[in-house]
Amino acid sequence: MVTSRSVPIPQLEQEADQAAQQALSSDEPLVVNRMGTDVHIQRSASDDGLASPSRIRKIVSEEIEKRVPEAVDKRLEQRSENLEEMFSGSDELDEATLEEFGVDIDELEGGDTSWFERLRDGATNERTAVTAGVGATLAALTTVASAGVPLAAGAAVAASGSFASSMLGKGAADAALGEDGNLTQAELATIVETVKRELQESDGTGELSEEVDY
Amino acid sequence: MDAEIKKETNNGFGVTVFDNNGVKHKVGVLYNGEISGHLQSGYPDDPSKRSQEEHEWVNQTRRFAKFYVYRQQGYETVDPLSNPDRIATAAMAIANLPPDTFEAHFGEFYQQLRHDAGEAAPVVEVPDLPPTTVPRVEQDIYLGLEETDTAAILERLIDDGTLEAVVNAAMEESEDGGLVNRIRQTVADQEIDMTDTAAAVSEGVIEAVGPVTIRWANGADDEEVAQSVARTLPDRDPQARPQMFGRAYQFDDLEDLRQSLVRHLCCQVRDCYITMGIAPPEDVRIQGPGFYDHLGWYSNHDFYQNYHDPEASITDWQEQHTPDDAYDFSGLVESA
Repeated sequence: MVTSRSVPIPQLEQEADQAAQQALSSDEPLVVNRMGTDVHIQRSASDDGLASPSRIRKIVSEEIEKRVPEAVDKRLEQRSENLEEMFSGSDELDEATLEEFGVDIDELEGGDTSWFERLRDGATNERTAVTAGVGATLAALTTVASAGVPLAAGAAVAASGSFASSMLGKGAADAALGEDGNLTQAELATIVETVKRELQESDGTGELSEEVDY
Repeated sequence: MDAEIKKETNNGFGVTVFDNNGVKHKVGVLYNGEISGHLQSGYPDDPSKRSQEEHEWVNQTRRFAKFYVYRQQGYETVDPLSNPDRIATAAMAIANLPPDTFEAHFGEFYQQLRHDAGEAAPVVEVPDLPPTTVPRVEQDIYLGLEETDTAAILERLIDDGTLEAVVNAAMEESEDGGLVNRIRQTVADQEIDMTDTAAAVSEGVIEAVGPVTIRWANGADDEEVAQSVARTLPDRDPQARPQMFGRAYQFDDLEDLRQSLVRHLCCQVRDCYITMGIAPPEDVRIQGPGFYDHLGWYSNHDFYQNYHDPEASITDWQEQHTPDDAYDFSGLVESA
């Protein structure tokens, strides 16, 4: 998805704000330059919310959503209907409007995905898959999604980053992973003395199944 | 441990695992986590003829095979309450919850722990138990993220610049310092305050908590008594279950609990990896009580070191048994 000539996100934000202002202050058709092409947005009489700030915001969201991890390629395809619903409710954009806006699905889907691979590799190499956690959180969030709740993959990636940064920045992780100052060592030792749990019995082996017949 | 997926059928995978004792296993892991078959020639097939150590090598093998399929292929094969990613997510969410939400979720858990220490009225009446019994206080945590919450979170991440910072950090050519450090640096440079974002994400991720529950060991089994709650809980397994002893902690307030709870869950994450026979990620190479069962495993046997004991001297995190792909999670982002 992320194309080799990805648009800086601040620019998108600026466009959104300008577009929103223009929409509110002018009766003229709205013009947005997107992907190098002027896109004219006609306000319709029946729907004067077409270019409202929240709507523009939605478009930016959609754009960024697609740019983040094409990321997560197949997942996006699978959930494309969900995404459309998510960002195009009754008073929001439909697919045709998105196209009119110059959101070129084909172009977005092609191109260089290597940064995402780098993200993944970076997270994997980090070897700190827990609280430092882009890795584990990304993993966890995406699998929360696959457990039945559709989840915007872009949000998952970003959220995991924000999680990690916040944890580290706030020092919550350091506090949690330093000493447990609230734990009473003597009491814990007494408790552990009474815990008689044996190592678990294991199951029998030797049973053949199709999966292990190789 | 060393694993390789050798075969896929209509129902699951055939995984070859070399355990930490050098024994080769063929394990059939079905998509739902069930073990369909298990061949090995290092130990008696009849479990009653196995030693404690042999039991644990077999168990480690199955745990690691399930984890490997989960991480490499994205199937829900890890036992409920034993998925280190989910437990870590719960810990991170708890660390970032706004104080009032934290109290709403865990205020009664806190009260029960204080009761356990003789300092508060109980949420759940603990029955009279033999003096050698140690009741523990538990509460299930359900993770989830609604579609609408996801959209709202995305908006927020755009608004405060987080998304841009993360994407830029990820796209940097530099390999220096690792991804997380780059994200941190970018965020710091741009003076983005993540506090609100993290709180919002945390609130979204914790979908529900179960009733405060007291459990205690009766022989090899557990007995329990639970708080009755009016709320409806998700119809699925919870992802995390703290198990704490009130009298082992001295809390002045809820924030003290929060710190110990996050740490306790991180100790559970550590236990997940240790009992798969591999090293925990560096951030959770920490000591303290995690899973209740594992207290006994660690303290009663030489098979494992005393990871539960904050004062023990740990010399082995099992790094030498940890394969290069132990932390790879490519299956989670590539598969459905």
